[in-house]
Amino acid sequence: MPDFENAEHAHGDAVAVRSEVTTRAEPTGSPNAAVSVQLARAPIGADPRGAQRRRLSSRQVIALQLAVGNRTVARVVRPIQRVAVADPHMTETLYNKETKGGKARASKYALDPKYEMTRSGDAVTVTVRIKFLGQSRNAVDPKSPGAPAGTPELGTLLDDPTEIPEGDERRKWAKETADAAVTIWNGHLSFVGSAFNPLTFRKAPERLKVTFMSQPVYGLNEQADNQVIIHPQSTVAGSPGQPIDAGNWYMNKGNYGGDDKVIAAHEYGHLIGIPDEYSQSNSQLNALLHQAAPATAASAHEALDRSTVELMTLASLRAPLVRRLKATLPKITKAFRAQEPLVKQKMTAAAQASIIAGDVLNILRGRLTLSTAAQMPARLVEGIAIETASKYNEVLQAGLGVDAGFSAAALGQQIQSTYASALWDAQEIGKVVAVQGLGEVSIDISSGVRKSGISGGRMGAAAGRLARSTVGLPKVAPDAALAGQIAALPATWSATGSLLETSITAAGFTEQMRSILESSDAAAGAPPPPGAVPPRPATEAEVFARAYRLISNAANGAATQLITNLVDASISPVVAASIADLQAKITAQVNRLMTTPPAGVAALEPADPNMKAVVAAMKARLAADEKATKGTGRDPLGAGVKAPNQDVTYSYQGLMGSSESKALRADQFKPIVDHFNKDLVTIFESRFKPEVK
Amino acid sequence: MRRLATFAWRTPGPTSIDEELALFDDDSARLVVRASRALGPAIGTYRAEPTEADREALLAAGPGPIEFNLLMPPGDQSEAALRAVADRVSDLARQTPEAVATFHARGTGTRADGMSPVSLLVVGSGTRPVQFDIDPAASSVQFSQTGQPTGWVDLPELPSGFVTPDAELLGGIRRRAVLEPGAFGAIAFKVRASGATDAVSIRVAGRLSKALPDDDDPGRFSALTEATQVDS
Repeated sequence: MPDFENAEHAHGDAVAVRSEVTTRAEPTGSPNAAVSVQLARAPIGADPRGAQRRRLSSRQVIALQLAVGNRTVARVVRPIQRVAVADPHMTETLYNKETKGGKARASKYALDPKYEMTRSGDAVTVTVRIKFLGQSRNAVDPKSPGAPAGTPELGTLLDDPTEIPEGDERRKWAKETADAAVTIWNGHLSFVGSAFNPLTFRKAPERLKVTFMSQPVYGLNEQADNQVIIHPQSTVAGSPGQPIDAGNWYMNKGNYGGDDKVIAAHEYGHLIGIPDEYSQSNSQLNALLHQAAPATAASAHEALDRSTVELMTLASLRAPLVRRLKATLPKITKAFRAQEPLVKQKMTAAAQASIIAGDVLNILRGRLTLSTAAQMPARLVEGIAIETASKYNEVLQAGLGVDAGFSAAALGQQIQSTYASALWDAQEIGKVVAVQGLGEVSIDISSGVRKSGISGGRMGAAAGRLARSTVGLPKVAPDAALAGQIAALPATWSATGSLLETSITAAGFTEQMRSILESSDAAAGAPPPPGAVPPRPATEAEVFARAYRLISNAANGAATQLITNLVDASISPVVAASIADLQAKITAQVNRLMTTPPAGVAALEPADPNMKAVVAAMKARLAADEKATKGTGRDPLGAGVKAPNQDVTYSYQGLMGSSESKALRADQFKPIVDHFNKDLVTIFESRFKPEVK
Repeated sequence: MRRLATFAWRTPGPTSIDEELALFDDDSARLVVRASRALGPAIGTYRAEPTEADREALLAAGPGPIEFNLLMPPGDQSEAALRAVADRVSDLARQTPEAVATFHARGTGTRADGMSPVSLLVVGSGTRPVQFDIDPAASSVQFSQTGQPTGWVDLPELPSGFVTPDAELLGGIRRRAVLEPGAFGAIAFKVRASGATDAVSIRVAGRLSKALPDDDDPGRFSALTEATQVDS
């Protein structure tokens, strides 16, 4: 797998616009011709989540032609647009080979990304036609004793490629692998922008889903975007001269641990022009900074160090903070449970006021019919469904669903999970920082740092005290700290216009009933696990019991889910504010320690001694990392010097970079969206931006 | 129970593989799958009792965590040997689920209004409950036609979590699902299918909780269901 850390795009993109498969609609004929074409953009009022776009009538098209001209109209009403994209030749330097002296040797890799981009309304498709061929590579080291004169570099492709015969297992493997590879890419990328509607003179947001595809081609002379050599089972990947890369896929992946489709997905990224990245120590990244932007490297490195210490501090505090919140949960859950009678009253009223929606009744009727013996009259089934469905508010008076929502265990788990997840998300968001002159870099913190806040010692003690002042005490209430703030929330539910009033409503209850019964229906319709087939009721009593069980469970589930939603809506803003406040305090202390000159410290507000101790401990750990690797360059192991363990590693961020982050970076798709903006937008549209999830 | 060593297999996005093998002082090894190497539909914890030789080989490598790069061959013979042992123990563990959730997708055609009813199903297996939350914002529904992807859509806002055939709420949306072995449930929703479709799959993302005895932290997971034919 090539390392594209030094990948470069040459200046100026080459884009060849291919003739469109579907002719552009250019209504130049009779005014009465049956012209009906799609607006390129959704009109105002259209469902932004994908409702059908309005079609222009012939009169509207003509009116538009008169207003803005034929050529402009043609640019607006293209039903399908297609463009062939050929990025400039890419090269990258990869230190993945060793010389006899134990030093890494740089190799140059080349890549020519090519693909076809199609737009059909709100859908964008990126298709790579991959020509799969056979060809062998040189596996003889030209420097080895006895190597014939003129032996090429290891891995050089020999002779000419040949067509893989029909029926050869390589064809099937290649197609299946490529299909599986693109599946991994899909579901992530959207282009977001906006369009001006010339009929309404208003602008509307647009979100275009991008789907990646691969199209296999096997003929030697067939047109394709890129070529991949499929190496047969007899050739082992990873053996001399046989590295897997974007142009060479191996049926026998040898010691490569990844699944075929994982490796292929990675290589597919190279075919559409997305390079690799590396994890590096602080000193390695510093060397990369000096290589990429020497003028700004020093200040960029200082800024990165500050971000690193901030993140290390937050990471080290997470465990003691969550542990502290756990200790306060009895106080918090007691406050919530004190409001249970009020919530139960509100829930019962909501259930009584809700109506049995027709589709809810239909689901119930269908389920009973399916599970009923054939001899039971349909009218009886209908009667049972109606009778049972009318009783679900009675079920609620028993309060099982409300009790479930207010159990101390459930509440405690939900509150703790919300806090723990929010702290984790804050780290995940904070780990990606923009580094001047280089781009975005992710900071990965070791588990040692994460555990340092609960590992004892002076730092652990300071972290514990800091957690206590942030979260609060187990029993004292009211309390201005987080636990006290959360415990105070349920008391606000009795006020007019409170979250309780807006969350527990008849409409909300009906919607929950509908959702739960529909899901129950889906579960019943799926093949159950072995041994889980429910008995088929036959008697009237059994059918009634089944109907009552469905309605009871659904009503209790609706109550439980509504309470879950109420608690979530209540605590989430408070948790978010607490974490934001903590982050601000960390940043202030890091700046005090790392940017304020000694002479200026006295003028600042007195520092929290615990925050000061934790930040200082993290700064010292980072400094030790830097000192241990100082001056070892980009490739310390290859240069034969030690590479001591690090508390923090960095990834030059990218879609295919090595990182613990599950996020994808939108800017890696910039070349693709640039091609889209250049060739596939209408004159009424703004430039689109990539967005990933 | 004390953890003695940790090994991990991870890759960057979009594959985002995340598997972790932990050895404990009760001679057990547990494999946590948060995003499987095979990019499959199951997440959770598996358990194995490795052979003495394999156990010693892994413990000798140190407490770790040691991370294997699935996109590169081993750097040297010792790494190759270590990876082979870790792979062997992982494969052994995969045969014995301890707390595993397996997701499935089901589509039932397209209605006259253009909306397609889709269900996300989950089945629990093992010897103890698997605990997880779904993150709908990070999940998606994918469509294909004759094996080729034709488009995808976001998972819609889901009002409630997984539900059993008897309409019991199992949780999973804003409330942790605690799925007993053998339990199964579904979430039904509707999406607008993009393009021609004969099969549907779902990328399910969320947080897996209580995966290991010493790890109470909810970790991100991602699973991809098999593409299943859309019922007509």
